[in-house]
Amino acid sequence: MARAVTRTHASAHRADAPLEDLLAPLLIQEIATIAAIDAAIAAEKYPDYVVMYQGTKTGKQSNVEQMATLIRRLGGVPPEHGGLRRYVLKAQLAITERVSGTTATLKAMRVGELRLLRLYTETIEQVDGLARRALGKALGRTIVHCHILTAHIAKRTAAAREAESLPLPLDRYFAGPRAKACMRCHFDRPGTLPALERGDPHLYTYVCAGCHVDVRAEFPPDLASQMDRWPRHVQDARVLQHALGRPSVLNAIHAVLYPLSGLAPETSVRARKKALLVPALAPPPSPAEETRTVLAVQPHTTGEAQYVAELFDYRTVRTSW
Amino acid sequence: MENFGADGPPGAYEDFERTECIVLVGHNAAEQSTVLWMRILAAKAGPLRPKVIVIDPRRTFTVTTGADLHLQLKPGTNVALLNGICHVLIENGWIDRRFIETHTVKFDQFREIVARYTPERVESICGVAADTLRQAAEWIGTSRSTVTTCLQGVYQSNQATAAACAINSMHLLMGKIGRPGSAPLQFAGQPSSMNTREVGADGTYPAYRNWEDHNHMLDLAKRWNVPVELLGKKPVGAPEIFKLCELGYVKVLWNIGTNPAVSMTDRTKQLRTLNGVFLVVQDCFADTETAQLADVVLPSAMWGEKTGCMTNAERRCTLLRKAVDPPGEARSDLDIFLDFADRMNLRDADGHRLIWYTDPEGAFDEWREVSRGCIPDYSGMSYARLAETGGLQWPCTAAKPEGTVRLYEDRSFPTQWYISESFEKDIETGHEHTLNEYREKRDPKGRAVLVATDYQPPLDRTDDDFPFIAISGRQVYRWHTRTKTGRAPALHDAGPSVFVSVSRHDAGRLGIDDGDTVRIVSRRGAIVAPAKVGDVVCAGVVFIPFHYGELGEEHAVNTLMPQTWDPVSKQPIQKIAAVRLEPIGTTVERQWWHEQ
Repeated sequence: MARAVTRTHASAHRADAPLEDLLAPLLIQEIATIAAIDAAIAAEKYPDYVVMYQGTKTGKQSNVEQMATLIRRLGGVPPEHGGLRRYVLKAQLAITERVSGTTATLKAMRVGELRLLRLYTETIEQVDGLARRALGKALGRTIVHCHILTAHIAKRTAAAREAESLPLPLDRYFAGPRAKACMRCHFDRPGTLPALERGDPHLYTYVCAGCHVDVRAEFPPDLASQMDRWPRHVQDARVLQHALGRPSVLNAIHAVLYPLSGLAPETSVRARKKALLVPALAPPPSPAEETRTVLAVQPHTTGEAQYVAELFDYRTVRTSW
Repeated sequence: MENFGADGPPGAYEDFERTECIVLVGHNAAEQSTVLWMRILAAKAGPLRPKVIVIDPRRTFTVTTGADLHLQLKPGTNVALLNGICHVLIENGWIDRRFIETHTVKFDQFREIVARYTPERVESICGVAADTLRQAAEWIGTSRSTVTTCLQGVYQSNQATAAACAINSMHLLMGKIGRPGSAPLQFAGQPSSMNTREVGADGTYPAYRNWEDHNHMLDLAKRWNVPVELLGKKPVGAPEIFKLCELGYVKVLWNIGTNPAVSMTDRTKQLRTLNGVFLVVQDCFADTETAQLADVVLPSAMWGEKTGCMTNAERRCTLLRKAVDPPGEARSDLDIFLDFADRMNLRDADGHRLIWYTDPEGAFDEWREVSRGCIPDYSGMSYARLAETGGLQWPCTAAKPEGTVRLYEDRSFPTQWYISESFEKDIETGHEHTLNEYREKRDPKGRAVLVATDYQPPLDRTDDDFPFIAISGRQVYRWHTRTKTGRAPALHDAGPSVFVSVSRHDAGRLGIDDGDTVRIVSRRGAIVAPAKVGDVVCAGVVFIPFHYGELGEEHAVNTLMPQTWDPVSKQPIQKIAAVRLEPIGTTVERQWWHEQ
């Protein structure tokens, strides 16, 4: 088919299937998984885990949007309904969370992720070009999510088999005695600075020691050079603000979560500059040749009249500049 | 939002005629809101003769033309000053205890914090005499009604959200809300800002829906007929989007009707950023500084060339009809979006066109349905009714077809977990409660929240190398980055170029004469401007208008400003930078500010 421009023919039984058909199972599974995450968020009592689920959801929404865009650009209509599976998974997660708690929820989520992992691995071999790049991104996010879940399960259950399945020793993921989810990297990594944890009267907020170090290094030089002059609690608040912002979270995903998932760190690629900085491309806006118009203003009080008179007398107004 | 559970200015313009006290915080109304200022001046001559209190680091045109009391505070100290006013209100019993007990929460916490802000301590922080503060508090506290407005001097200054919350809390303390002549009226710079707050174009969800509340998302998904799973994303503010561009995570930036090449802070870095993305600029002018950096320009119609609605600071929606056709290839923004949606093949869950309407009235009708039952409810409006009435204030429903003059008249605030626009954000970090945390621990159940915050000095600190604080602001003859006013000869002549206001004291100390060229240097960059020496700013403070920023010139004050933003509102902090002045020693030939 002409429109299947980004497809290869690695799989004979799907060689004639349009991209839409290849991506449909992935889209349905991803949407079903998001539905399940929504159920888990509603039931989860630990705020750090809620933030972790929300982060995962955002990644999955990106996967869906990218695959849906691929289909749309070829004139297709992406199946964005999630199918029956969304209801099954959603109910399963909600019941699991309420009955068995966070660890069981993580395990149930991992089942879904492993299914996605298999689907992505199979599908990516059948496409190339833009579709391959998009699926590569989605596959990377799925691998990362599988490792986040596995590490938390390992920490919470102390199961050696789980810990051994991680690419790095468990203490690289968790510095403390119990499982916590940093609101930036979702682990509880060690670092040379203390972890930042705030509770009442503030909202519960947690950023691990590793992220504390990383985030301080992200401050631009003009602010970083002044940080020592800020009171300690202001420093901490600013680090937390920065850590929870989308740019820093993406830095954590690419520079921290990828390596902790056995993947090469992914550095963002900045676009090539189009031109020299501050080029004199055109003259600045200049006044047009127009006839001046006199506005008729009818003040009703002395104060208004005086104001209007001064307003149209440049010199008076300028004394206030 | 943090006080009331949702956005939405509670008051109305008619409150200015029905009040005994008007407080303008960081709002140079005489230059920013000229029509409103005439209304205030008229009110001052009316039967109630309201006192006008101006809180501003500059002796502005507002101060000289109508203030009864000016609190000339040091830049970035709004929170300390407002805490001080609340302290005096409580100390003197100028509060409404019944209202506080029945309709608010967290009074004890609030009182504990503001108790630390005695007038004497506030004087040491803000530079405002203790007696002046007491006078202001007495006028505010003993008047039967008070209207307080604020603008960018609050929203874009140090501790922006904390200061905005302090203003709301001050009104809650006195029970001065939801009745004629009493309201905090949080202005927007222009009606389009109000609209984006309501419809969700600034990263939030339409009609004040809470992104964390699955039921809100479910409701929206049903009305749009899209999968709920694709909604409920944490909003990302504009400064964060620019940061994402800078880091390379965002590669295509579609910039609509704004000029960040001049208006964004740490401007040198932003120019690099704009140079590094694939930049689509949709604007009615093809020669703005940002458009000059564009890869693609989509020429759009401006007001008078398209039909649509705007909502102002009193929640009044008005219909603006197209008067003339746009020139050349320019099209209305709506037509551009519709074309884009078609080309993207956007469909709903049933495969039908996602954007089903084809004209402005269809878009408005869709918005009426999306907002139906929500806080900013437009369902009772229509083009016909807007044309007939000249404008209606939301909420406007079938049951209240004439709209609503002011919010919270029933003393009920939308703070319940199932209504609230957000689950309480931490003022210092912007972090939000989860639904379960809010529902179980914080839900005020329809009461307003008294929010007090301790003062924190600005992040960009003065020191021996950078001993001055630079602030920025507007001039009455200019609008934003001069994209429009720069084309009108009369307006251009009124304020033709950048300058820096310096106090006589500092000018004398540094040997600067009026008109001398000065280099203003911050930790991020430098600009050059002639010094305008006078009594507008205090010693240690300089003022520079933000309108100027031609590419290739060193005029943009935002070159000096740090790339920081408020944790909650995500507004860039454009009003505070530590700088030094380096006299270049030459006198400009033309000191235009002395000319007629």
